[in-house]
Amino acid sequence: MVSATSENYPASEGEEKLDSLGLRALELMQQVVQQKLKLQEHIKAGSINLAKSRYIMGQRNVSTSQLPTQDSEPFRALRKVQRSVSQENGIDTNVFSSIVNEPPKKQKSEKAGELEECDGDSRTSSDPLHWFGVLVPQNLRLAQSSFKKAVDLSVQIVNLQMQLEALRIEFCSVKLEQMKLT
Amino acid sequence: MAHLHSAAKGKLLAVIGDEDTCVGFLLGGVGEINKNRQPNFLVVDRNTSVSEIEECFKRFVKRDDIDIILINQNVAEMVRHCIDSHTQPVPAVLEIPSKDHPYDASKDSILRRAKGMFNPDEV
Repeated sequence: MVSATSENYPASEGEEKLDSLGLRALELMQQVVQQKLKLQEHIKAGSINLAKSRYIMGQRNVSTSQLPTQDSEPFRALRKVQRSVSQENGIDTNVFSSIVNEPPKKQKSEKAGELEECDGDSRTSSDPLHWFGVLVPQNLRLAQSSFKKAVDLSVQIVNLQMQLEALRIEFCSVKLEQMKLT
Repeated sequence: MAHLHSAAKGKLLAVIGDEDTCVGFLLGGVGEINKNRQPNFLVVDRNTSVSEIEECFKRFVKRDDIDIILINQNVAEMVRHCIDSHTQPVPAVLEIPSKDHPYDASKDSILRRAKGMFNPDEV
């Protein structure tokens, strides 16, 4: 029945596809907005804890002056992403997954450094909390945990955006085909 | 070891944003300075010019070790033409809210592009 319809009226099948793609796109758009509002909550919570840390440690002790600059020693990121390609609703989509590279323990750091040098990369990785001192207030740790959640959520939102973009491209190509038929 | 090996293969998240966004996300562990001493973040303050942001954005897009660019939505507004003209899937650009500027879905490039799907004049 379906095949007979598609042979006689190929346009209606395309229209149905457009409808389902459009509906899925709307769902994805809603999810993107919802997740970004959730991300906003994490960022807000993190910023409040940064402000509280500033109150305890002093304005200049929690600022960009603590961040590494071009003159500081090179170091590796603790959180990265890995890309793979998966099929969502028959459309190839890039999918990112976050990788956590925990900093090495202190007593092993020298040996680890030597090993890494053998790999041709002498960069080390350490907990970013140490940029702000040895004894940091609890609020800074809370801020860190909020921003870690924000990083993970960002990767999830990027995946939704990737699905949405792939869907949009598919939608446009189906729409073009439809226009040629009519 | 296998875990470390896979981590080395991963790609970076870059950050362009205000002080709190950069400090926060770097605390979260996304910051890196590579062997050429190039950071993967840019702190935007009132002294940062639009051309600096543009240059930095273009540099991040060209770097093959970056897969995701996180940018504050208010900063993205300043370089909207650059973001709209970046149509490649990778690096993906994610507009994020900041503490001073709440998220506005109507300004988001990706959502504006998706909304175009339902515009009969656009294909």
